[in-house]
Amino acid sequence: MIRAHVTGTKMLVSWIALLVLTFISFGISRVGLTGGAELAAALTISIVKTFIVLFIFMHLIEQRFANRLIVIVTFLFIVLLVTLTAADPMTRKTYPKTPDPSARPID
Amino acid sequence: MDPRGVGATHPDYMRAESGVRSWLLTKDHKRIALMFYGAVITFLMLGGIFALILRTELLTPETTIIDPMTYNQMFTLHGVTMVWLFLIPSIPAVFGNFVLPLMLGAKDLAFPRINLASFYVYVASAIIILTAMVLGGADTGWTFYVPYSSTSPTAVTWMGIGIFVNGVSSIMTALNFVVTTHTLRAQGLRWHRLPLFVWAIYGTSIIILFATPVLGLSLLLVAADHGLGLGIFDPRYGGDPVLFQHLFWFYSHPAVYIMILPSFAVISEVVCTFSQRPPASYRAIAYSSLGIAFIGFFTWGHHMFVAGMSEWDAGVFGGLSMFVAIFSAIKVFTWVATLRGGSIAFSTPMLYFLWFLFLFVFGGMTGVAVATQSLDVHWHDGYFVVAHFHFIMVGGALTAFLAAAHYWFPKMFGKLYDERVGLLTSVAVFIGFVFTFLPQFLLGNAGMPRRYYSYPPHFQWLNVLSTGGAWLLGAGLILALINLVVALKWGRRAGPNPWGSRSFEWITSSPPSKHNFDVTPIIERTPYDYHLSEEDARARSRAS
Repeated sequence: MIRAHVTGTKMLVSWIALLVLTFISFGISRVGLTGGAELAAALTISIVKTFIVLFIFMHLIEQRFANRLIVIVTFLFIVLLVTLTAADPMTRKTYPKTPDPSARPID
Repeated sequence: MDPRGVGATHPDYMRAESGVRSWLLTKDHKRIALMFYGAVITFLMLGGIFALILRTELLTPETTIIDPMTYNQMFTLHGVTMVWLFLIPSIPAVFGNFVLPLMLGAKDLAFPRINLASFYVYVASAIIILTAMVLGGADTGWTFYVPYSSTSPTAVTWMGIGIFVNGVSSIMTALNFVVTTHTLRAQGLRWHRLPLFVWAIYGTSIIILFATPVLGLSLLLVAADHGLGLGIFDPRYGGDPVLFQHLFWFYSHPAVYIMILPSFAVISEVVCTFSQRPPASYRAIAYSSLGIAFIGFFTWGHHMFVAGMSEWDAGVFGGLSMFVAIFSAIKVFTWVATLRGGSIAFSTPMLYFLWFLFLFVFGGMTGVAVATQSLDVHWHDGYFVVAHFHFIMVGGALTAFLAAAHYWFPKMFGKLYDERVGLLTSVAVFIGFVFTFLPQFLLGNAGMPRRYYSYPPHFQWLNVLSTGGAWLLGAGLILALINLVVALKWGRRAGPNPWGSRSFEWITSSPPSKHNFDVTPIIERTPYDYHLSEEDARARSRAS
């Protein structure tokens, strides 16, 4: 069943939220967080923004669950893609560039 | 009811309107299917001609008929044409478009205009790809691996844009199938009464919707890297080439299932009809299609075992890749079990089913082998892999396409083809195929790399065998085409249901009228009720 949920006020509030999140993204990039923190923050903000766009601007919130399920599954596939792809560089081993002298074969 | 089938009182869809304009602007799913049919056969022939030129070049270790640069461009075009202009759209866009609404008891697809648009977008993509060929082609192979593709002076950007546009067409078609299956099923046609063809096309559509956007954006980024030097994938500017491979294969491995799931769809229908038996397990075949669609997304990394991928990821991807074999095996065992106790007719589509079974099982088992990291390191970028994916993708998809072309020929055109010629061409296609690709397993295992223009002389006899097989395969395909074209003009008239099938597309006339059914059917049975007589089956699948 389709119900009208999204009002003009909600649209406006969502738009302001998107702008604020964009500024926060920019601010975080200027702070220069170390480790994986910057990436994690950027991804989190992107996910929140994505859901705001999907549910409010694309009116997904008005749809029945069966239709929302498609979007949820799509999102899970993207999570899968990012997780396994990120797991690759994170679990790569770097071997020493110069051979270990103690490991040399005996002449 | 009319013994010629429901809807026989109206002119058929080909004669309902006349004139070129009525075809070019049609919104009838059946006419659009025929337009796709003409296009994909054209591209099959084009890709086949490229293949024959490549194989002829490889008859001798040195130059035979073309120079090395032409060879590089030709194998790229062969791959691009076959993958995106034939294998991916062939069964869904032609037979899916034609029979899916008939199987659902619907008058058309949910979005007829989008359906027509998807055809023109497909044609546009083909024009862009062929323009790229005129502009010198690309020499990167169909995988467009960076960093070479971001530096190659050839028309990589055009090719990437062409494939991007092609993806849009795929998405339009897939969306149409998903919405149609959800919303336009006839009354009484619950999910577990859907023909197995519909289940598999539905699974394929889901994969297309989830995976194709990733490929489109990846190729656009390659084009941007190539044209603007953005440095997303190009290591000269800090990009990561392995990231491209992750993104490319996230689409292109599921794309293997986009190519093979529709083949399963056809095969499931053919095996039931020509053994006059319900599937040994309806749910096993239906759910394994969805299982393959789902697990297919977890396996892309097995293409990258030697790309610098971490050992952890390689282990995970190797293990996950083998899971697909479980679902495939469920299907194979269920098809074989369906034959048991059946009244088997060895007609042309059934013969293609047998070839399909052999090629798919053989190709699938070698797939389990190449999913094993230690073996893949030896075979990687060699002819073993070429033979493996041709066996499973081309062998599977081509035999299923031919099975579908013969099986639904009476439904589409109301005529019967010459059965003896059909059987003969089927045998020629199979023998040609085996002779083409079986030697390539041996070549690959012996160390011959793929895409090489030249090779050591001791590989020549296997290459000669392979080239001979390719020419036989080509001759078989041409003969099959001639047989069907001749039948269009001189074939005997087919009744509404010449094979005695119980599936719902056969309850309407052959060929169907413009709106498929006189009255919207009410379905009170499954599509595989072979215990019912044909009259009883008809009575339980239409409203009077």
